[in-house]
Amino acid sequence: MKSMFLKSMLVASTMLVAVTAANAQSVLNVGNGGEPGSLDPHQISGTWESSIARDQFLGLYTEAADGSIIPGAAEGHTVSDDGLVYTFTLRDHSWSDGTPVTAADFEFAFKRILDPATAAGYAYLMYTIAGAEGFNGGEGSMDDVQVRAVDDKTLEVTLASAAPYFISQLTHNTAYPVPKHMVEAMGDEWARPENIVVNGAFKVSDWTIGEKLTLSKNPGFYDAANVSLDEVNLFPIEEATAELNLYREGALDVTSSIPPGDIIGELTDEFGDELVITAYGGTYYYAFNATQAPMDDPMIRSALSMSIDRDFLTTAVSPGNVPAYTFVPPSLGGGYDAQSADWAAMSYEDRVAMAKGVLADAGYSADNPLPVVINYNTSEGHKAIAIAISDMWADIGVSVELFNQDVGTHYDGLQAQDFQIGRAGWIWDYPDAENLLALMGPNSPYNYGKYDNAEFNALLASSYQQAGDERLATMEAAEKIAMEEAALAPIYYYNSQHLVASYVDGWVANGDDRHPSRWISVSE
Amino acid sequence: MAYALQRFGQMLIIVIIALFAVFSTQRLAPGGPFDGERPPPPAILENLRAYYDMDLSMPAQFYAYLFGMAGREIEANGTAGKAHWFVVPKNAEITTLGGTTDRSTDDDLFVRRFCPWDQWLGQVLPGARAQMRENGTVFRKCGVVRGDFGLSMARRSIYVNDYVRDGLPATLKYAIPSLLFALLLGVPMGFYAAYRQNKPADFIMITIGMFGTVVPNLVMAPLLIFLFAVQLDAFFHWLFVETLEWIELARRQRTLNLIPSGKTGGVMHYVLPTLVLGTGLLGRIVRLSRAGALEALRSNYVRTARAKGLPAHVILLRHVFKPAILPVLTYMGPVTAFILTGSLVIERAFSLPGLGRQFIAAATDRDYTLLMGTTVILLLAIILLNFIVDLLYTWLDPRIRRGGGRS
Amino acid sequence: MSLLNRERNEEALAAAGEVLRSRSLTQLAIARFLRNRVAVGATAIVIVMILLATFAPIFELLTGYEMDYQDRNFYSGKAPNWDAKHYFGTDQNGRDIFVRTMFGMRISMLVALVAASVALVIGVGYGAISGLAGGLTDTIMMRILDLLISYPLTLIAVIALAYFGRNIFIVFVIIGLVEWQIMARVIRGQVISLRNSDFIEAARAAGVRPIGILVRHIVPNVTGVAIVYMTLIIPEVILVESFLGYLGLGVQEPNTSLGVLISEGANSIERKPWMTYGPGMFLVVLLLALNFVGDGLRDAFDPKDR
Repeated sequence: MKSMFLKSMLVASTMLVAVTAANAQSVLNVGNGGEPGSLDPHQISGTWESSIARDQFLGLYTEAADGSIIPGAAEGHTVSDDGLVYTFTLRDHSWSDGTPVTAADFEFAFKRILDPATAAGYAYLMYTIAGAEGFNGGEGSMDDVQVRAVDDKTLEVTLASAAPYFISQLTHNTAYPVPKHMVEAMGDEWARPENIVVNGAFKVSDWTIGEKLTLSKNPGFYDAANVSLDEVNLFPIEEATAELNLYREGALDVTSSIPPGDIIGELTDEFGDELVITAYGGTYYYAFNATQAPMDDPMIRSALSMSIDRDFLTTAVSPGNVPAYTFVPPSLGGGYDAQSADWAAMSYEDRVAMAKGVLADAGYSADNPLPVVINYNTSEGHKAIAIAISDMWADIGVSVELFNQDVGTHYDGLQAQDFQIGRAGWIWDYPDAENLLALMGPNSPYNYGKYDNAEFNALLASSYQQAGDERLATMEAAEKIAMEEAALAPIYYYNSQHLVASYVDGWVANGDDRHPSRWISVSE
Repeated sequence: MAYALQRFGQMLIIVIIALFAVFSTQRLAPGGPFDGERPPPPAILENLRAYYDMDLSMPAQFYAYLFGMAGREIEANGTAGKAHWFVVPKNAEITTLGGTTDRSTDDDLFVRRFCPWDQWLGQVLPGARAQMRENGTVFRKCGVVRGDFGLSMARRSIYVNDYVRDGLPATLKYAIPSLLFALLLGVPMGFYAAYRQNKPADFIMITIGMFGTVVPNLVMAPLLIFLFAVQLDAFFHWLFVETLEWIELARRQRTLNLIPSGKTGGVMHYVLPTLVLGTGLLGRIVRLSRAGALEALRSNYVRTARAKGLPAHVILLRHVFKPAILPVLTYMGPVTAFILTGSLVIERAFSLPGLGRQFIAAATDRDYTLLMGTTVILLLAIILLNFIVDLLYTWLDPRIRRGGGRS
Repeated sequence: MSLLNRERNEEALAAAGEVLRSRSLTQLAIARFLRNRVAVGATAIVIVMILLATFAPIFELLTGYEMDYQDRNFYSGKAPNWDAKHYFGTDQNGRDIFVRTMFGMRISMLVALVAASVALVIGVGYGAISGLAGGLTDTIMMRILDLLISYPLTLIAVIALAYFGRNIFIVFVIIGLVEWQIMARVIRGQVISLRNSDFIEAARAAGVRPIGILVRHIVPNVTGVAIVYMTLIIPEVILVESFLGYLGLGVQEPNTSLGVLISEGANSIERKPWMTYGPGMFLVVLLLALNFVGDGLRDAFDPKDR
């Protein structure tokens, strides 16, 4: 009797599992880390949103399970000799309502995301295309954008300057097609779950805000025969602890992260290989406001940067990440050799001594400390790091005041140079050093501290005119200058941290942390 | 009834004043909804602001928020694109309930959606469409009065109505059980304590009442998670899975998690949230119903009934219940407030979806429309409950009908 | 939040006001209060906790851990360790939770005191004006108050804090703004009964202007009630402050409050429950004691309820 009662309680408590078992479909339950703001690939910015867009839409190029680039909606392409004109040949495939996908859909999509009226936050990623920046900035016209549907199956794109990373940009959601016929008929309403039309492997079938979003297999997908999953449930859980509990309960098969703190050892003991930690393309850093004293002094900045004990931070405060001495993560690959300042090779004790000396020369000491303010956006993790760093800086004669704000106001302040030292982070949009180095250059709105070094700017500018190893060498030289001058203080390289159940196949760890569901299967 | 209606009207006025206060404060406060890690360039920002009518004067914005806004750009920008045009049917025939958007594309450019309340009333017949274009009004916003809370600003493809549709039930899923738990347990406990005044039973009830009142939600939540979801669950696991082997873990399960620490899922996921909110309410209701019952017990007719030797439950039900329930009823207004503020803690502590969570997210993200929408719903919930309480009150206590009342 | 307490105490306080004006009755009430052993015990606990909070820096000396000292041997939340003098364990950054609890209590009490004073000023002002003005003004002001009481102003405080930053001064003022309404109502009752008294009539006959009457005669005479009432809103304020701290809207680092400490602990309650034990226990004991003191005062000043 008792056991019957308990069993029924158990069933009630794990209804999700029961349902999946009952209808014998192949279902994957994924912790997605956040609630999507839109299903429209032009209106999204978060990784939890692009993962949904990636399943629903097929760009000209797309990712294999391991993250490598493979043809998607395009069968292939040719490049002109000057590297400026790309001609794509489209694959025969259709939207989920049966309408064929044509080059006109791509032309329409590229111009739509750049249209200021669309107000797409990520449109700048398409500035690689000639005429794009002017149109998006409100100066040029739509016709200036050099994208042209030659015929139904041929798309021609002309770039502003040769960009070896253009093909990898095409895998990003900003370059996904949208169904022209739907958008023209329905306006922004086209991306409502009840209206949406897709060309990817999955299509949204149910969405309860705060609870879950369900993607169902799109039978009209060109490669549907090789898609194993019938359904993917995405749970918008922000709290990593809640994800962990659901994972233990069996309600989640993949988590978006693991709880912060010194938990990695415990999780390894508990889950073994199911804990997957991989380098993820980005850097957590502190920006210095170079427009005002004393942060305009490269020596002071260097002293602050070198006295951060990154090994301690990545073992005790934010375990699972990798100490960073360069801005470009070494996991970038592609022949780029990330450059650090010379002091990176010194021991931490020597660095502290050196930093003390620098500050003493500038007239600061424990008795007369240099007052600084660290701004960070409200989060337990950022707080712990800021507190730890303020302790490290106290040792070299710096007194730190901490100031936290919500994320919007925080970045607002960074952009207005209304800060002294500010926390920031950057995940590359496409795997190329340029994407990160530009953040210290004159044209980026994300150069929060307005770091301005003529030599660096010249090198960065000339890299856009170069190609191959020459280009890489120029960028390396530029990074070397910026790091020696401590344009910013890199703290750690991000790692992606997931729990992936052993029965999930086809989920391959990769540096971009992209895991298209079309490659994933669940073994019973 | 007249008294209740009068109070309802007064509260409605306060709601509108409160809404304007929130509406204008958020727009005057530092920061804006379009700031963020990678804020858009100026040209795009301008479009966004125009799209949300933030380029208008504050009173005009508020008017548009309440009463809607005619399609000011229809002639200038009549093409498809940004606008979510709404149609308000005027002389159109109304047929069946339900139906969502108008999918027709035949030169029917502006018929995108109906204003929510018009849509609830019924969908327009296809034949009436032409007539509607003639007589219907095209709105960019329908306004709160037509049931449209607008588009979220942080999540620009989601209507605030969608948040409410999904968030309100999620909140009610634990709010209503906890209210029932507190009332069904608390009122009898309070009555019994009063009946046994100064006896051990009374002392126990008072202690429970005190405990529920002074231990705040934010302490109770981690406490119960630790006791139930961690310790008790580990014990159950040891007992039922390892020792007795009554329960076999499902293939994908690693832990029993009989009493989970929250997040939606099965029924059991709501046990702890309900308990946390319920015990907070329980303490207050025990104390109130005890006080009410004490007063009623002192009355002459109860003394007579006791003298006659009637059994306890008869006395309590027949003579004490009605007068003693009044203070509890009066408290139902503040109860709503308690549940609403509690929901902020509960939804955070247990990672639950719901309106409280959206409220906080909206405030920190500067999502003006979402914050306004959640505020409207919270305030409406309060005035609705107060209205019901007032109705019950006039029914239970005829003195109130003369007006004047409680102050 | 705990609206019940407000309503419960309201009538008692109106009575208490009457009582306070008569010295012998006040002495009687004090005697009655002293006979209530629970209330006296609670008062003692409150006094001890006030002392703990006031002299919080002593614990820095006793344990050797400054409030913001980061013990690298006890990083990322270690369990209580009596040998190392980490009596409540350490937090994420290796800081001693016991010392931080004392300092957190200090902030919580400071907020309570200042916010209650803000509530006092607004409440007395509003109540006195309403009571003195009488007539239509009084009716309208009271009706507004009536309606405000039904609203969760704490939610407004959440919005205000989210929008206007975490300046501790703003926290004080906003919480004060949330908690004044009952005070206003009690004061109004007092003022109305004073208004008709002989000495006010005399002052009025002597040609003293309303402002003069307010400042010279009314305010001194309601001070007693107001201060007794203030002790009753202090637990409310502490609760609101910890609520806001829990939601991440509290004070700036390295300062802390009980709510902030509990919030930090609650994040890892399943693995590190000790992070919540200390601050949680102190908050509950503090609120419990303050409530008993409030109950004791009510009983002492309103004997007919016994």
